[in-house]
Amino acid sequence: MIELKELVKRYGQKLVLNGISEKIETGEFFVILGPSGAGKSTMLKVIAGIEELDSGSIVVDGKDITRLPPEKRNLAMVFQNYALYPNMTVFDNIAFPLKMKGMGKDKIKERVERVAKLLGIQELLKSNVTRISGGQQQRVAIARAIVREPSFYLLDEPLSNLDARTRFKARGELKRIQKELGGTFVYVTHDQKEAMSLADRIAVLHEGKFEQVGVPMELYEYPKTKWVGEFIGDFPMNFVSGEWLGVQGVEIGFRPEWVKLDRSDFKGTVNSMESVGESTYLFLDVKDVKVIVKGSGHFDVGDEVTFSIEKYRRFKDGFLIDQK
Amino acid sequence: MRNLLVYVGAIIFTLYFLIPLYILVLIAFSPAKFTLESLYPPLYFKGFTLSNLVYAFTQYNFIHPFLKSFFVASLVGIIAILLGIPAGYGLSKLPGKLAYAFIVVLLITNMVPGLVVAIPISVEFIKLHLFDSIPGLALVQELVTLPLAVFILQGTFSAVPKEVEYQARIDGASTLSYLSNVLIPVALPGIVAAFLISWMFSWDEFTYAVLLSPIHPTLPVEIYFNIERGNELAAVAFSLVFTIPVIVLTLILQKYLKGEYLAGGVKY
Ligand SMILES: Nc1ncnc2c1ncn2[C@@H]1O[C@H](COP(=O)(O)OP(=O)(O)OP(=O)(O)O)[C@@H](O)[C@H]1O
Ligand SMILES: [Mg+2]
Repeated sequence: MIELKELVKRYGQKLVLNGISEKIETGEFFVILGPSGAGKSTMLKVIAGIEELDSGSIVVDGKDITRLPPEKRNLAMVFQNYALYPNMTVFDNIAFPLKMKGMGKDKIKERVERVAKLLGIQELLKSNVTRISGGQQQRVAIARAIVREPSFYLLDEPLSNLDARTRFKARGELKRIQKELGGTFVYVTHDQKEAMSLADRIAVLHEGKFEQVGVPMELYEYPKTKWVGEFIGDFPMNFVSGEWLGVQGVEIGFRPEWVKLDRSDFKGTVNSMESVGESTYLFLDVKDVKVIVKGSGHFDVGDEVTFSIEKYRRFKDGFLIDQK
Repeated sequence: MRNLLVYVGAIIFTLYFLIPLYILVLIAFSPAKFTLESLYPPLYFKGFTLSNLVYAFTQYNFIHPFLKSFFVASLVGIIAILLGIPAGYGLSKLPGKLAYAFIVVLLITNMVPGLVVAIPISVEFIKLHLFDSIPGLALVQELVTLPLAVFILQGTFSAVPKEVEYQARIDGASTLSYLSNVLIPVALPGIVAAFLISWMFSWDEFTYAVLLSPIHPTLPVEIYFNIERGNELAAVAFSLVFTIPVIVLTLILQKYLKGEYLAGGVKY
């Protein structure tokens, strides 16, 4: 179990982490999700010991590691640019953490070959790491991280350099590997879709704090704040005045999927649209408000669309007031 | 037309540098009566002989100055690397502006004329028993080569992404094993370049050598002495040998300095 206690980190005047506390369970796939510049990489660097904390502490399995240097923390990390050792072959890259532990040659060979097989890179072991493709480099970086048995794994957007198709495949593999190892993964991404598909739990990092921590469905169904509602989901949650539904003093939030078309409650004009698979997301002007709804079939810009809101959440001062 | 001009320019430029070398070879391998002893020496080979060289290498002291130069230059190269690597590594971890300021200050020492520093140093060296010695001369030449080596190494080390170092630390490497397992192998082309440049500088360095090591001179100083004494043939023969390592090293350096070696290792 990793316990983060009141982590605070500043760069000069800039407060990047503003008192973050959370418990990450052993064997959990924990995703930290946040927009670019939110401090996700900083968070991992602080946990890894590369950057020093201004205050707060990190406890892993009951042991305080806050003051330990990175090499004594027994963790593995995959950087966004993979940080492979350019002077070494694939084999030597994967073997490096074991070599540093002083493991015997035969044992190293056996271990490296086992993870190489797990990741399907046996054929590459003798290649130079600068001469393989981005997808292969990413596998090597993951292989190097899982070759030893660290107490947990840190992954900083490891899939962001891959093309869409490879990324989709790699996502599935990563999840499978994590389940096979039973390892604790702390995984950073700015891609909410990736977070939703990988995570056991997601922590949304915003303005130096975890704005919400929960299972993917909870974030989607019950976003704690308007900001989370807008950030999570393929399309942002719609927010309109409560008076639309006859409730006073609140705002109501509803997802594009939570409406039914061809009901006469509300009427809007199609401003633009975006097709996703078989459905079409319509960007409507309703009264003076912009609303996104999900429809199916064919629409044109300027069409009049009527709909009703089937499900919604109530927000007050930007915060959710409905309970699960 | 433009191309032609470029070629003509290149040819003139090349001749400008090659003619002295040609004359050196001409004097070395022609009988003296066609060169040094004639009033109007021809600019082509009228005869060919090895006797000049044989005479020079048997009658004059060649091997000691040669070895002295060789040892001094090698020591200069080694010290430049040994001190330059930690200094360059340290500077590569400072913020760019600060590192740059340091390097400028280091390089400014290069601008002080050698004569100005050589005389006070020689006084101190006599007291320290470093006068006329190999380590003494090497240390003084380091005044010029070390800043240069630090500059080259700082640049090479800075090109290695900092994530690679973080990764090594996380993978369990101490600073020392990061240096020996990752940084130095990755930066090897830069290190070789720093060594060779230091070596070559020392090899034909004259001012410090003549002032600080006049009794057991280095090869360039010995060549100068021979010219002074009128032993031109010995001077020419020694110069010929003196030039060979410079040409070889320049060719090697060229390969390294083309950049593909520098960039090839670290591709991000
Ligand atoms: N070494 C540093 N010195 C000063 N400021 C820094 C440093 N590293 C990061 N920052 C600042 O801290 C903030 C958080 O950076 P961080 O790299 O953690 O963001 P991130 O969430 O990982 O973003 P991205 O998704 O783009 O990788 C940014 O505003 C960045 O400019
Ligand atoms: Mg980042």
